Amino acid sequence: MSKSVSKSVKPIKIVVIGSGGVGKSALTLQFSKSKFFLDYDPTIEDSFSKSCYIDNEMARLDILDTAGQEEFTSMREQYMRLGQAFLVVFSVTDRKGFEEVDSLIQLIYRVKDREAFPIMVAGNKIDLQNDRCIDQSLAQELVQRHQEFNPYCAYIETSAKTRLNVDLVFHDLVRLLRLYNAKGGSKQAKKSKCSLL
Amino acid sequence: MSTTIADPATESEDSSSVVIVWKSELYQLQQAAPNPLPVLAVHQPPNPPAQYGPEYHGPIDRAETEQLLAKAGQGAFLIRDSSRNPGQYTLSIRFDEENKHFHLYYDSDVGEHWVGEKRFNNVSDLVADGLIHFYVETRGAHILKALAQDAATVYEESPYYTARYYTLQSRGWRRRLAPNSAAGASASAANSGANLIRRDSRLLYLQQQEQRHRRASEDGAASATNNSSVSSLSPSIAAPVAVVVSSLSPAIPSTNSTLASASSGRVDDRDSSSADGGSSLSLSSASCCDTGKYEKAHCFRLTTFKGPHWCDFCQHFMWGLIAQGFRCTDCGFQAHRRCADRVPPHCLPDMKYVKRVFGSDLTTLVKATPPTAVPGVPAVLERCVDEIESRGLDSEGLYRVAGFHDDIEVIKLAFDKETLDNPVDLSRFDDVNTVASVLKAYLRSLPIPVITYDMYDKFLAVVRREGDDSTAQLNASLRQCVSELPPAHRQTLNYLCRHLHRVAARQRINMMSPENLAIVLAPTLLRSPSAEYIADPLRVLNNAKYERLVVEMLISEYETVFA
Repeated sequence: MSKSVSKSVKPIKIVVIGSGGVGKSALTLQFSKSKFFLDYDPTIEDSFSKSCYIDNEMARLDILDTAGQEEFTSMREQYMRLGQAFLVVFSVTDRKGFEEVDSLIQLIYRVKDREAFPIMVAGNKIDLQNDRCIDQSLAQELVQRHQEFNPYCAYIETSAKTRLNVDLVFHDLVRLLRLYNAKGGSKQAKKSKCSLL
Repeated sequence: MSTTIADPATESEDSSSVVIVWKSELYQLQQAAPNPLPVLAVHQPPNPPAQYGPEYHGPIDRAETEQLLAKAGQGAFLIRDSSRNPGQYTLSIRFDEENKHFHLYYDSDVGEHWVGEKRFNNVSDLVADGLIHFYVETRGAHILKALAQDAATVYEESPYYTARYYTLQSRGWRRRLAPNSAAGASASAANSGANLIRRDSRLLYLQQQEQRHRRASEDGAASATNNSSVSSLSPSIAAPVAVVVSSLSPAIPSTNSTLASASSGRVDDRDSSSADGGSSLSLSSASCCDTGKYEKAHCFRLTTFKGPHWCDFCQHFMWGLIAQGFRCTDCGFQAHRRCADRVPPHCLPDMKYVKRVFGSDLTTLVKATPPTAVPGVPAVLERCVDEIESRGLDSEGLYRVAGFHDDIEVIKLAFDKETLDNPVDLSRFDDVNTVASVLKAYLRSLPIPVITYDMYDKFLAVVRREGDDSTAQLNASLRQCVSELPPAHRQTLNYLCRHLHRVAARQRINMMSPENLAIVLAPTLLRSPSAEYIADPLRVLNNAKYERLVVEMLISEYETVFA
């Protein structure tokens, strides 16, 4: 069964990005393996795939988990070119990770040469309420700024540890992508609005 | 005349009052050189080329040219059509009753004239420069001939060496030279750990000696000057050091000498304190403790000097109007083209020329800045490591989690502008990850990584054969690789790995095992030298595994690899 599904459905390439140590791998592993891994190995690059039904439609996700450290920025543009949808992760306990979100989103627009693109922003580690330093409103505000010109952008709070919203964040990203593709967004290049026609 | 050249040198040996003597004969020759004297055409020739003025005579022949020049006298010049190559031009100059003819070139895009290597904005400057060269090379031929013989210039008597003598000495320069001297016994006691370097410099010295002797015998009965300077050298091998010391010390104000002794005292303190630490991991082992010993070649660039300039090597004037000689971009050493080839690689870079911390070559920076507590390690690293070790070893995700970008930029800028009176205060940055990010940013900014491009393949080769070798063998191979790094790089790697070893010792709290540290830091410590490889992401990922293994072993096996 799964074989026939995987043949009939084209995989969706999802790229998970964000600053170092914010929980990108934890989210990805919780989603794909339903486990919270306690080890603390920095990622260079890992990929996972998972098939699931989203809104009664089969989806095969190829998830690329990336390195957050600035040392690896040289690889960033390369995998960004491959991605069809992006999950931008920050930790609500870490201001620097949040500060990087905006520049990462800008980089996606630039690499993709699009003004709009399916992007989910995930505020992770909300189980650590005591250490929280990024308010929900602050993150909402940031995403709303992007939503003005990118309707395929949304914010959600997650906890990889308690599995809160983990499935939802990936499913919503697929929904955004489907919406984007339905509107023919992939063909709409940045600055393509011709004023003459 | 030839005796006057040798005079200053012998004087400084004997009388001890003269420290530096700039030799001005060539300068006076340049001043006395004839001025260019354009011979103007009486009738303007048809279709004169736009780049030439009234000194253009059109299609006149050689005989007529020589007549015109002879009438005008010394320094006269004119431009005419080339008789052999139609459409090209010939420059004719009168010098010492002789007429010289040159093929004259012109590049209309940049507006430059030339006959040889040097390019000029107008023909008159070209001729003036040429006349200076003719004049200096004929009237000063005896000086230039003496200069061309290596023995005539004693490096230890050069202005560069003598002027920086105390800097050099406070950085261990004297020790460096000590093995050269037969009387270096006392110094060699202090130097006992420095076998490797001593052997090298000894070898170098033996080669130089041999060369000198060979030259001396070849020249045989050259001029009296040469003989005397050679003979004054060869019997007294100790001469370079001993002479300078004895000739300078009375002339140096007391403040200077106390300074020098104070700083050398500091070096000793350092050595003993690390000995108190008692571990075999001491970084300040004698072999590496003098950054002055790190050889760095001058970075010479052809330079046009404004105003008169003298050669820091042979003390003679650098003649000509443009491109008179070479200047080192890191220390300002200036020399004739010929002299620049013969200067030993003793560049003492100065922050005045190097100008920045981030992005400068490691050896250059280490030599340009005041010595740090651990010799051979740039101050910026030392300060970051001190700060991290004082308050950040238990911080979770140290070196993994990023710091504040804005603060990182502030600190980088502060280090670039840092002075002794105004040191960078890292303690006011609360987040230790910011400091860790500065450290990583510094390492990434190095033009040559800590593990140099040259050694990249060797280091990777060690871990590639991991399966066959025992850990002890691996450590020995790594140790060998480390020892082949240039001293500043070796010291810095040692220092970093010692620090990372301490970080990893607290992995229970900070979660950073050697493997985790290696994953994060490998790309900053090692970079593949080949560009084609960087373009291939598959090979990047493939090699990343080995790069990580190298760094992981350097950290986890620190005690054996660097012992």
